[in-house]
Amino acid sequence: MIGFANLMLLGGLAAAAAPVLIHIAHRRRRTSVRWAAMRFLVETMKARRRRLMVEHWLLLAVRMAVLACVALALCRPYLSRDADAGAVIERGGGVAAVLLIDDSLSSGAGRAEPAFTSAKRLADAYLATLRKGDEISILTMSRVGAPASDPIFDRDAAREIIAQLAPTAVASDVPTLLAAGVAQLARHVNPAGELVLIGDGRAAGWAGADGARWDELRQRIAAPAGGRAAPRVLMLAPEGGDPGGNLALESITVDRALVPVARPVHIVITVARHGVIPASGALVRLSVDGRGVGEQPLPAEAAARHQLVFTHAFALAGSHLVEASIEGARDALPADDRRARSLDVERGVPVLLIEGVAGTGLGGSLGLVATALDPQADGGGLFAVTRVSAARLEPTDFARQRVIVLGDVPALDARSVAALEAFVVAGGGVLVAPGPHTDVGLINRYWARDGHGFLPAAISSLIEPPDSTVPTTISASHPALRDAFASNGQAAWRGARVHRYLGLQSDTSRASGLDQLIGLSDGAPLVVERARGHGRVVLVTTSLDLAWSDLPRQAAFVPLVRGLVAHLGSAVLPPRNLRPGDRIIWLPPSGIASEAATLEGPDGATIPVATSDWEGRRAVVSAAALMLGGYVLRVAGAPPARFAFASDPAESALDPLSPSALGVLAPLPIARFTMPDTIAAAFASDGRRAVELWRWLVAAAVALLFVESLLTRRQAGAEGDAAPGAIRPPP
Amino acid sequence: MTLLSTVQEDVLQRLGRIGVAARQAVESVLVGQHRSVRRGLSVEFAGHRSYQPGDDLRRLDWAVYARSDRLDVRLYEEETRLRATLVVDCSGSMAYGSAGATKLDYAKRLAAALGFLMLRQADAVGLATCDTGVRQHLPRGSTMGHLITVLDHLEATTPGGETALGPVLEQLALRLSRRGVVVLITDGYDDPARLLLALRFLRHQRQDVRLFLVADPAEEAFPHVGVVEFLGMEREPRLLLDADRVRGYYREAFAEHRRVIALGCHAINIRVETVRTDEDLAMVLVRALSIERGRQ
Repeated sequence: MIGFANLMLLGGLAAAAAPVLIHIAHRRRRTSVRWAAMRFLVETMKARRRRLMVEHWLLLAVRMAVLACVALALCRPYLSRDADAGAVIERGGGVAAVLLIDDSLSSGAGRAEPAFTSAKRLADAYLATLRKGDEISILTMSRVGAPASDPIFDRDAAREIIAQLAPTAVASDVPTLLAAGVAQLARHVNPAGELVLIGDGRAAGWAGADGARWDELRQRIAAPAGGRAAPRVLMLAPEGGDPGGNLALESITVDRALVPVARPVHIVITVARHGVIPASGALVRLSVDGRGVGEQPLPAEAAARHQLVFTHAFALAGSHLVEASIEGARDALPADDRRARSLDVERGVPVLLIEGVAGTGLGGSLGLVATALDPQADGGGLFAVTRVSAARLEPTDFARQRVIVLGDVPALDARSVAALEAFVVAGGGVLVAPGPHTDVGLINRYWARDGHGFLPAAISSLIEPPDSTVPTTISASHPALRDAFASNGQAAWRGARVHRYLGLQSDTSRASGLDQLIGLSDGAPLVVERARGHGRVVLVTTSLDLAWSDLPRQAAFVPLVRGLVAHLGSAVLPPRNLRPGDRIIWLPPSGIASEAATLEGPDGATIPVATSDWEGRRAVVSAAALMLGGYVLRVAGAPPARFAFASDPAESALDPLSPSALGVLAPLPIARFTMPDTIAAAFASDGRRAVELWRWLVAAAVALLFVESLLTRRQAGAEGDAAPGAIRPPP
Repeated sequence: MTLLSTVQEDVLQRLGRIGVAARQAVESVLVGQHRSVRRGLSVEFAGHRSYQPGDDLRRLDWAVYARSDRLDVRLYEEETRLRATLVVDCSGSMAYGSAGATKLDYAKRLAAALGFLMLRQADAVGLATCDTGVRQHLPRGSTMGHLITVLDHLEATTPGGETALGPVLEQLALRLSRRGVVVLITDGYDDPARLLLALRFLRHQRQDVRLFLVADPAEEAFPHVGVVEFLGMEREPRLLLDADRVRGYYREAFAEHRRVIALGCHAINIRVETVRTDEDLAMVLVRALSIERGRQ
């Protein structure tokens, strides 16, 4: 059977018609000539008509055949011979093998040996089925996104590369790995493409629920770019089996948005249990900045999750590393028994209060808020508050602030509005509360700007319900409200009355991305939030003084205000808690020479960093890091910055890959191999059952060109022999 | 400008410019032509003329030399009266010309030049124009008035009709009662066998024949390219051909035709001169008649 490796180029056969078209065009452009020596033309046609016709058609046929041979050669046809008895997989022509190796965290799991070791044996068995001239590319999950390299032909070198591989801490993402494989195929020349997925046989990373992603990937595999035939998909993975139970540290969280210095905080360690594994004798240790601060035994009951709470007070403000580890558990995957988290301990978070009515102490539009945030008014607590009148506001006042609160501000100039928007997008938080001086028209026009401004929603009008409303609906689990309402709940608002509030325009109150944190008894929102860029904005629809409500008199007011401001000021950018494969990015404070920065990894090794750019700002950037644990960046003149790399909790599940999970690739056929012996048997014993024909076609084209030149030269030779004046009179 | 004046300016004056020797060479050949007609026969003494280089030394009158130290040759009456007939092919194919002048124009000038040269030798010149048959036949005459009549007829001749030299030459052979010279100026586009047969008949009728084959340079080279529709000039069928592909075969046929005629003429002692319309007529005459002189 004849097949074509580059079927898309078969249309090039139309070029074979070019000589005919040229001939027809030629004939149309004929000229007429009066000629006296007709007898010689008539003689010629009488004597050689047949020969002329034969030569003409022969030359035309030869020229068409040359073009046809070249066009067919470009299609890379191959001739398949009959399959050997018992063989399963036929290969047509040279193989372009792309080995996609899943070296994610879960590949290190296994009872007797890591699944990754079995996977490498399968890879070796596959390489043994390749022959001289086959191309090999090797891509790993941990290096997806790195610059691609050209395929190699050296099978021994490929074996060596695979032998050097080891499991890493990255999370598995099979669709991304397959997509990288399809892209790598474009670098190959051989016609028979093979995407060889080599993994641990686990379900993690298959993202079976993401139908749209798999649809797009299936289309790309079925019709690769460049007209290449669809590659075969193979999966080499040991049987998932039961790796045994696994305990994993799933998360480290803190019970508040901002961690204050010298105040106890609750550090919650979540331990996940996968499968059956006894937890007796296992305990969880907690350390901060490398010093142990506590340990607790793991409960013995077989629950899917356990939460262990540690209480710790951080003595110093700044960047800290909290690390937890499970000790004494013999489980299938030791790599997920440790987890790190970077925390910023705060003192004096700068908060700017912009008041419509200036005041001091408890006076002014935000006097009560200022007192709630900084009772001592000395900046020595969690928040350092600065109050400024809206009339005297300078946009430069926004520098170095983490949160800005607007209270009863009638209007802001354009520069200040633009600066506020930029502040939010860059990661800052804004809390907006109206008041008697609020100009609804102005703030709708310049602060909301039809959904493009920083205000979360446009205002409709001032509402004065006949009976004061009461805050009812409360999202108590929201990080901003936990402190205020976690224990008291509804009771915290007992007695609160709202006499006036601003209604929100109905269409914007249901806009995507707008969260209602607290609602009123009449259904109107009281506190809403929306993210904008890296930051967030919270809108309180009533005043934060006693002008429109008596909320400040409630016990929940102070924790509510502090919770909202802490929530708004908790964004850490660039992020310090990362996944393996991410790069560490640090923004040096102004005046600090970033060139002298050094980065130390979890193993104490120095990691190179470089000065680069992050969102238009000067930054120190490292290469992609793969090791789990804490990293410390030090530079003279600035406190050290700590970063934590933690694994994806999904890698700890170790559920085996089910046949239905493989079904996401349907209808593309996928051949799965779990044993090295089956791989060898699956391919033809002679390694190849197809003969590539393009060489013969090229040779035929060259031979035909030679024939064409002979025919043409014959004609020219006849002209030369009969040159004018060749007749010689006899002596 | 009349044919005479054209010939006088273009040919005869140029012959003079080329050199007295060239003109004398031409004229002496014509003189020698006389001798070839009547070689070895006794004829009436007709006088003396000055010796010219190339004259046969046996004709020197030694008695005159002894008396006067002058080198004179004896002339006989028959030598001075060469009877020549100029036969000009006026068929349709002679109307072809790729660069202005047609073959017929050239043939007329050639015939005129030869006629004038012969008349200066006191020879008799006649004219016959032909295509499929003899159109006009002017008997030979040796006066200037007769030559002018010949030239006028030549000038008035237009091309047309088809080529059939065989029957024409046969007719002429029967009309020419006395021995003489027939100068045939044609493109020769006729059946070679029939043409040679007719020439042989002429020779049999004691006529000395000179054949001038006139061709246009384009007819020799066949410079056409691409697909060309050829329209005949003597009612031949149209032919649509790829000129590039037939060029070689055409040239082969053209050369073979010339070769057959040349070989056939050589066998019957007829001198063939191939002439192109882009050649200088004066040089053609020098070349053709000088070679003739060399043969003598």
